[in-house]
Amino acid sequence: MRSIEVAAPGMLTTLQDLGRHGSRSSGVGPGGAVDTLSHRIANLLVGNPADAAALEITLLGPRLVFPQGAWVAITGAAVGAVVVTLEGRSIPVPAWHPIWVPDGATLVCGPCAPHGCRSSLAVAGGLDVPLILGGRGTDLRAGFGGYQGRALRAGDQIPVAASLRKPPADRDGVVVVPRTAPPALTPWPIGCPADGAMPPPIRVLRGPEFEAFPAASRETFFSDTFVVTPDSDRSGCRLSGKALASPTMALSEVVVAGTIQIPPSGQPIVLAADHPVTGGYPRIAVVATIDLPRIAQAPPGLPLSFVEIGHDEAQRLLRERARTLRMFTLGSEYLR
Amino acid sequence: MASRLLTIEPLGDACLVVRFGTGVDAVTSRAVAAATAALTAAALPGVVDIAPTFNTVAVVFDPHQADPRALSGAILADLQNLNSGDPTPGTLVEIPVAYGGDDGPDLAAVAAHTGLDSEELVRLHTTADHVVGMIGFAPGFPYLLGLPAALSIPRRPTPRTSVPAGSVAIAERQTGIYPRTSPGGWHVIGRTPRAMFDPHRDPPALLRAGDRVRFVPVTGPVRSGERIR
Repeated sequence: MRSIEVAAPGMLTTLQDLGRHGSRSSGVGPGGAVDTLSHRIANLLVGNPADAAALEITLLGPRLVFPQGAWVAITGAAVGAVVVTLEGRSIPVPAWHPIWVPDGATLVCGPCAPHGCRSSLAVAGGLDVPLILGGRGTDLRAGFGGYQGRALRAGDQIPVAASLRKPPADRDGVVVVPRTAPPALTPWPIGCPADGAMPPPIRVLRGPEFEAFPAASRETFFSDTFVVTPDSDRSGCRLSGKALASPTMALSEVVVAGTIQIPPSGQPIVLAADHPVTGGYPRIAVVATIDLPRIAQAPPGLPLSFVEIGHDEAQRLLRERARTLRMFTLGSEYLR
Repeated sequence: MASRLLTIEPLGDACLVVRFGTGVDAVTSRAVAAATAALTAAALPGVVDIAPTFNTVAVVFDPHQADPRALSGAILADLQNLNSGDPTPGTLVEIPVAYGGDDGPDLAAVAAHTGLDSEELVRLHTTADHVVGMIGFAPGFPYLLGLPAALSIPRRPTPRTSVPAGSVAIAERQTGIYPRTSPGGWHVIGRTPRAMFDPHRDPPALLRAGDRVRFVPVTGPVRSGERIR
């Protein structure tokens, strides 16, 4: 059995896939990669199915030893990865490309800043952990799934499934495969502006309680700027700004990733992959699926604003993204 | 019957919520349970999950696989002939609870608030018919309806940072059971050794929406890690 050894785990590195669906009635949320787009692309780049289990890196990347050579790809926030070979040579490798890591080499990942806060690291063959309730991702809140139901620690040995993809001709060297991506994917549209500039507004749909909010709150929500706070995590992106007065809810209601709740503090919470299945705070808006990866990458300190779009526009944007992803999938078929 | 009462509203672009009015009552619960069963059996294309709440059923779909307008029509068609008039009653589940002491640190405070003594409080809680309104908050956490009005109490002003797994707690007109040690704002009156959630069990949650629950008093203390599956 091939495996990867964790020399240093990074800040919060977990095994994730595209989510665990079908158990919400038991209170089990979807989990999975927060930035599903980066996850898909990382897998496609190494010839895996888009939903294979891969590593999700948070803020600071891990140091991983590869006893056996493997194809890997890092997407999302660039982590300034370097491959250190057995002979001690350090070779910087780019994100968004298939990379061959030779036998015995170490992959050293740095901080995600300033271009985002999460990266996906896929290995050809996929990480081989048991399927639990239809998912391989780590549920940190409930303590199951992924690698022993927890974030990675130094000394962990992560099993890797067999890959059909052949090693390169020069299997002792570090190989970077040139990528033939459609123009729309270069530069990748989810990155945060490097200079700290205001990114384009996050596109949202009206939430079920939108009309119940005072007019002043509705106006402030769309006209003001909110800053991502450091207590954001896999369950949600927490924002700070002018407090929004909110109505009270009679009952807890269902929530999904992207739901923007306004708790009594008046400070918005944008729910992410590890959200509970229900919530008791009014839902002013829901982030359109197209922009979930952008929220996933928003680092603490980033200013954000919101703009309303309609359901037809949300659908049109998704169809466009699907076309781009299909082209990308076709383009990466040769890797299998 | 239900088709006249229900509405369908979107929650973002990847979820439709079928709503059965705004109240919480037995008729609504039966409609929700029947609709959950019907939509689960229908296995509509693109639908990835069906989640019941007190008075809604959420239909979560992959927006790349399903169009919300078409899906909305399919849901209405499936629920057109919903028969929620004569459902089978929910399964009765007995939950052993050690009340008070270290297992129920808030029992005395609840007694003081309600003006009842501890014995009367436990008697009321164990003789009431509780019904699972929904599972939420955390994997396996049941929101139980049916807390007697005499036991109604607002949430704690400040949530506890750590409530032990198995804690049985009350707030407003509901009882909840914490499946895993977690923060919590309800008043802890006792503790059960039963495992509320086990990801390797099918279904993983001990209770499901619509189940009936009877609490059975046992003598404590419930030790951490003690589990009855």
